[in-house]
Amino acid sequence: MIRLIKCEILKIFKKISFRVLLLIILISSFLTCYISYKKVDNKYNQYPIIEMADKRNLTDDYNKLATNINKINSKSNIKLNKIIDNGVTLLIFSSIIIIIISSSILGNEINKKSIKELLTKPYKRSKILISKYLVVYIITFLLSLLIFVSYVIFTSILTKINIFNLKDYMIFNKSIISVSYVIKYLIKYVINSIPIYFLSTFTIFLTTFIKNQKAIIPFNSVLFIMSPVILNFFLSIKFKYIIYTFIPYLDFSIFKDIYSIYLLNIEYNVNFNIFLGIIILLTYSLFFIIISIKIFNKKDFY
Amino acid sequence: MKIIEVKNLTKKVGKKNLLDNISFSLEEGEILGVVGKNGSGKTTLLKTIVGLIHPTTGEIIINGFDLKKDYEKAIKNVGCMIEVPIMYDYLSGKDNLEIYRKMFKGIPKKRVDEIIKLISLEGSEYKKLKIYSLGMKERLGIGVSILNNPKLLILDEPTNGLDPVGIKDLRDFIKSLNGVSVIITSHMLNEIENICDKVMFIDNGKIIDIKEVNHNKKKYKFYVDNIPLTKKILYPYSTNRELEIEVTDEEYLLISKELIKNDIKIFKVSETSSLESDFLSLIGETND
Repeated sequence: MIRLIKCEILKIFKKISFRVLLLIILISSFLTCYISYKKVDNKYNQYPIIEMADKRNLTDDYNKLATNINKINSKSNIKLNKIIDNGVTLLIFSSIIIIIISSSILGNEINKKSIKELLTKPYKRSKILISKYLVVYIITFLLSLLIFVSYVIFTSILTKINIFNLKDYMIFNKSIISVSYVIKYLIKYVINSIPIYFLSTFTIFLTTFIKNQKAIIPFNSVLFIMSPVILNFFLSIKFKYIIYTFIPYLDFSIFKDIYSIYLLNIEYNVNFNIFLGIIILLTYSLFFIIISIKIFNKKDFY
Repeated sequence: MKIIEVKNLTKKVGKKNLLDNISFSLEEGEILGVVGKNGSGKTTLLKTIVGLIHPTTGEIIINGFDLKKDYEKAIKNVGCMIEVPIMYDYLSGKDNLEIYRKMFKGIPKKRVDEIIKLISLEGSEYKKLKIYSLGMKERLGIGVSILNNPKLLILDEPTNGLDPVGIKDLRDFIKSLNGVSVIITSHMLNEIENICDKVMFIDNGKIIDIKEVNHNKKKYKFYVDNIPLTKKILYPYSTNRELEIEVTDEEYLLISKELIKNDIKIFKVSETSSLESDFLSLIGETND
């Protein structure tokens, strides 16, 4: 399978459009960083304080979290953090790119029928499909890493702060710990890129059985962008089981506002949180991979 | 040793049998031609053999391995080109060969250069596939099919788009393959007759007949002035009591001498493909 993965990666990297894409990501990274740097001004000197909840049951954990976050925010360099945080929005841009790559890695091959040549090589179909999943995950990782590294470097250059030597604080196991600035934000980027891995899985899954491949990219893109709206809609009609689908977790940036999430959980009596999101995305990913392998194995290519 | 055994292969789609109880085998080094009308099931058969289509019932054993149970081992020694080869048109011919070479274990880099020379694509190997002509793509497809030095080569209409030089090169290439079994489909019956050891006639997904090809004999048709006497002379050799015979070169010489000796004027002698007359009599003249 390693041979298959190498061949797939070679095919992607040899595409001029992919190389242009990497350049666009670098340019976007710089522009986003520059615009964020210019927008952050001296008036914004401290983080807003996160409100404490009412002294009701189940609020102790929330209040502890809010207190810790307030403590961290009071010690942090808000301007620097704001600039770096804006880099996470680039992950939204890369999500659309990954949807396009995921759709083409199998969909294009099926549409253009080059899949015939691939399927007549001595590899089981399941191996061929899994290699395509793995390649998309590798590309997702590389793109996220490129965005993160380029953004941190550009931020360091523009702010004239050596971010790589800077320390910051984060919450670990309900306590505040000191960590390297880069590590803290790397963790943030990694967590925020988890939905992208799911989106790529879902896209490849759809291409195994949907004949109109061109519909998949806009469908998934709209689903991704509209996920918070869809969540609010279903919660408003009291369908709280929506939190057990993958839809609310397509963009983890909704978990930034912990107070709103707290209120949502109280109002609808649910436990909507990022950890549940990670488990749900992993579970659905596994399910889609297994089903897509079964579909792909049974397909006839006339 | 049998390189491939197909047993009771059937492919049903809805109520229609695309393949209907197909059984045949091929020994090592044998070349089998598959002929039939358009839509008779030739390509479906080849696609089923290489695993692109799953049979409804039946078995395919390649090199001792069941295709369904041991796909990787069965297909390891198979090279194929099914229909018009479609590869990555944003890559060059050489890059395409490289991609497929990397998929196999133990094929050295120089094999790609050997293949390029063999398929006469020198000078065009660095050009993007999207500007290749159909013939060039067919050549490349053949090149990909032989990358792994297969024991069984499956070629579906390989002469499509090839110029006469290309067709001759292909014929010579197939004939040069020692010990390699080939299954080839083509509408060029004279080429099939030239290359193959046996020919399978297929119609409506069924095997109509499998015939050995006798390369030593040729079919001739005589146009003469004295038909009754000619018929008498040709009678021992005639296939249909008419003026058509299937004979070796030596027999032909003897017949010609006998006709001249009997003062029979020969207006014309045409060499006909025996395969064509077999095709027309077994499968019929109408096309789908």
